[in-house]
Amino acid sequence: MNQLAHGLLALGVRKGDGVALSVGNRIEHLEIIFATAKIGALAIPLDVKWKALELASVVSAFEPRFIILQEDCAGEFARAKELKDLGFLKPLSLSSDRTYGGLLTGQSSDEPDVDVSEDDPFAVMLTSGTTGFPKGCLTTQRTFVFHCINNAIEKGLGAHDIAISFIADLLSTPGGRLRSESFTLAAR
Amino acid sequence: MILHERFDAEEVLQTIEREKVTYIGAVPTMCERMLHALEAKNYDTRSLRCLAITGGKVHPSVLEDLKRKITPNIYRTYASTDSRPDGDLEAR
Repeated sequence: MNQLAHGLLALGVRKGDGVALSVGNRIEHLEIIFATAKIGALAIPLDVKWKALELASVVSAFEPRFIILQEDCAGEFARAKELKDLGFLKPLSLSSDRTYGGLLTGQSSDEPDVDVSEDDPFAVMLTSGTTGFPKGCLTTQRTFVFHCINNAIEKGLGAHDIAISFIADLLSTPGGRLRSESFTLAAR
Repeated sequence: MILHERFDAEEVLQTIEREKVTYIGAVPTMCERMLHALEAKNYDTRSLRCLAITGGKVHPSVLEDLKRKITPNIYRTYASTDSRPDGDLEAR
């Protein structure tokens, strides 16, 4: 995660920059979320099932500076660029070798030296529940931490838990993340 | 944490049994699909300490079936657009 954070810094991502991600429920999704958090960038997770028009509309509404795309989202993104001017966006493709197209090469695994405080923005979560219109909710680093604490206390989640997830949801990560030194992700 | 790229009720039940999963979060439709899959084949889900359900209301009969066939440890949460006066965070 630290290597990825340094790789993003080397790419030009700065504190406060939006980083959209069209990355499904896979290990990289969480790596990216935590790496952007470490450098104070704003993660904007998008739905990998979106078609070009949805992708173009949402991306042009939030104007992130970067977008990270998994392999099968590249086609819709190319079509999205025909629909709207997305020239402000720098795309980065996930590579199958899990090195983010060489982004990690030579990067330090030390904590990145970026001053991030609890009131800094953490992510824009596009949420609609099942009954409402989609809306972008801006969450701060503190909001997320307290969300974790709530879950850890209320549900008793911790390092002893084995969670299964099919929606890359930050919601099921909290207990383990907070209460254990290590955190294992696996696709099984 | 075990990641599945998509939801498949049978695969999820198999994984719960095989990996002794303790936490799962799902929307009501996923719960109903798991109950449906359990009609065809039985899976051991006794490892679950928490089935968190959110995203919509759970029909009382579905809730009863979940408690009986999957786990009694059910937490229901309602977000602002799902909230009703009886929306609650239910203790196990």
